[in-house]
Amino acid sequence: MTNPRKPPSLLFRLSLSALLAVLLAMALIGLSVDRAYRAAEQTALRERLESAVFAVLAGLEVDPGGRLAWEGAPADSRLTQPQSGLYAGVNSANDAWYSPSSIGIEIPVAQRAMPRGSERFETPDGNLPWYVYRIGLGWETSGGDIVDLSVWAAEAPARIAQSLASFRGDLWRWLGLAAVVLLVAQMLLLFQPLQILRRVAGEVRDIEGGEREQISGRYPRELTPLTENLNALLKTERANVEQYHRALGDLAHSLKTPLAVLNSQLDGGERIGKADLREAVAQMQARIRSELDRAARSGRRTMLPRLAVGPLAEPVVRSLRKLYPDVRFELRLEPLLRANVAERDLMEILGNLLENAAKYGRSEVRMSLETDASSGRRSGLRIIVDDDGPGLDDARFGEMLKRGVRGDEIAEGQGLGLSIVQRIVESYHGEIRASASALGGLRVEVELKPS
Amino acid sequence: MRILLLEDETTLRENLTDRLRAEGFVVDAVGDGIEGAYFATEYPLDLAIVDLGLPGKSGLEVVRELRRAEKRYPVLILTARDHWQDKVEALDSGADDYLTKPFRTEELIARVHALVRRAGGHASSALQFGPLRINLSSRKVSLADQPLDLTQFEYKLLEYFVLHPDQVLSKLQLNEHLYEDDADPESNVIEVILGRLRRKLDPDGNWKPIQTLRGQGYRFSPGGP
Repeated sequence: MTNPRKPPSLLFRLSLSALLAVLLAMALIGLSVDRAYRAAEQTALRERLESAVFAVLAGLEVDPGGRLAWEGAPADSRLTQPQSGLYAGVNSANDAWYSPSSIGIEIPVAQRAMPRGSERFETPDGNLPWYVYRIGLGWETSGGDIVDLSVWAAEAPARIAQSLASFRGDLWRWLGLAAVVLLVAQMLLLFQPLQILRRVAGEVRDIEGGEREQISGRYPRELTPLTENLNALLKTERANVEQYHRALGDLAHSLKTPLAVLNSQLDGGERIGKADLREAVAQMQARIRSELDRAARSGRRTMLPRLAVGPLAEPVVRSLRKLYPDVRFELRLEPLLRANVAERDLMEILGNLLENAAKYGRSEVRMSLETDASSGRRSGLRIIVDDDGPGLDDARFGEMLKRGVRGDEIAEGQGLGLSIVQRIVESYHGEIRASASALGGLRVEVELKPS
Repeated sequence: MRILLLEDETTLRENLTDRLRAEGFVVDAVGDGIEGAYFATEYPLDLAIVDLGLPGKSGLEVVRELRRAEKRYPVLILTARDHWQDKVEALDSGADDYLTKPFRTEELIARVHALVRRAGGHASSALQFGPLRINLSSRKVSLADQPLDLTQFEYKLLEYFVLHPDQVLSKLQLNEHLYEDDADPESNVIEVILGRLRRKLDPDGNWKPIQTLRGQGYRFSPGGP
């Protein structure tokens, strides 16, 4: 046996897709929260730098010569604490002041004169390692002059980076936990419907093992088409098996009588006459035939496929031409004719009708096939076979249809084909009719209705 | 007429072989598909009777094979399956007729005669060539309305000629189609019987229906040479 790779289980597929969905969602949530947090941190930093600038301005003295002095109380102790990470400075045209926190640090902030009334916030980049906020203003000295000043405050990125790092750590930890919880919940949710499927499978296994007759559990609405169809299939199957048993039994019993006759003659020491032997054999043959026919007839005709009729009818006609080379066979059918009929049944009907016509006809047999338009969406079939033989009256035709049904008759030759056709047609709830043919002989018309 | 009988059921094969030989046929009886296919393609046959269920190779395969090998002799199928689907499959694969088991031996013999006759191009079994009348079914021969008494072998020879009219038949060909294997192909028995047949068909010596073509063989031309 070939061993194709098993398709992955439902649980695996669903878990995999749930995992991917959760990971994607968590990543999106994480990124957007991270962005929002970074923006908030920058706003807070800018506000801190702004208040540092105003703290510097609050303690600033400028003499009329433009010299700078700072003697205010430190509003922010970080401005006085060396290398605290927060730095500030003031530049005038001819002087500069730096906060005590910047002692021992090379000030990377460019000495740039800011126009009066302007402000700027800069984030670190290639040539600026700090966050910087600066403003330009005009300062009125005690002498009444206006001096242009640039005031700035700056913070090294270490603090904000640290805060961001600790926030991120927390964020991803919580998101990870949430993902795990979601996945576990998903699995638990999946488990239940899968458990139901396992229960169905278990019931089917029990049926196979003979422990139960049909699927009896109550299942959610989505599964009832499956369970109901399975039950219907099981019922048909059981009915068929019973029928086979009965048919086999009938056959065996019907053979016993002729065998008993033979046996008794053997035991009696009489010589078995050829005629007796022949009669017993003929009886057995007839029984076998009628049981086979009955078995074929009793099969249920449900769920028939839609077949293309032409490719089945043509080889039958070809075969008949071979068997009856002196008879002219004509086949008329629509090229794309289709019908809901079993392949075996259709060939059996066509073969028997044509052979019958060929046996009785003189030289010509004509068959036409058409769809039975009366039968709605599923397609029935109308079969008409004409011959140029002597024809039959209705009474004789009725007799022909019954031939071979009686088991005591040697059912070889004449008319047997028609009785076979009759039985197949019955199983399709169809009809078979005889009338006079335009060719001068018999016309047999068969209508099959799809079930 | 040389017939291949391909049937695996021993009793049936032996019975049929006896009956066919009694009818004057040369019979090669074989019980399995592979050997059967060899006979069917390599032997000079006039007809084959093939059972469908054979060990080694199915009857249908044998039929397809012999048709692929461009053997044109008629083939009669024997089988227990009597549905048209099975018949059509057999006939479509190259068989010419179909007989369902169980059958009467008479029915088989009649079908064999009919197939041989049809292969010879004759629609009816009653044939007439000038003053000569032959009924292939009853095997009765008459000349100028007088019954003609022929031995079995004389009849077989005449039948073979009649079914191959106007064809040159070599001595080897006649030997192969009319004799069992163990017959000596070098014997001059054909010439002897042919001589007797000619005298019976043409006692006056002015019709000459069977001509000798030196170095090639013989030809049945009832209209004269």
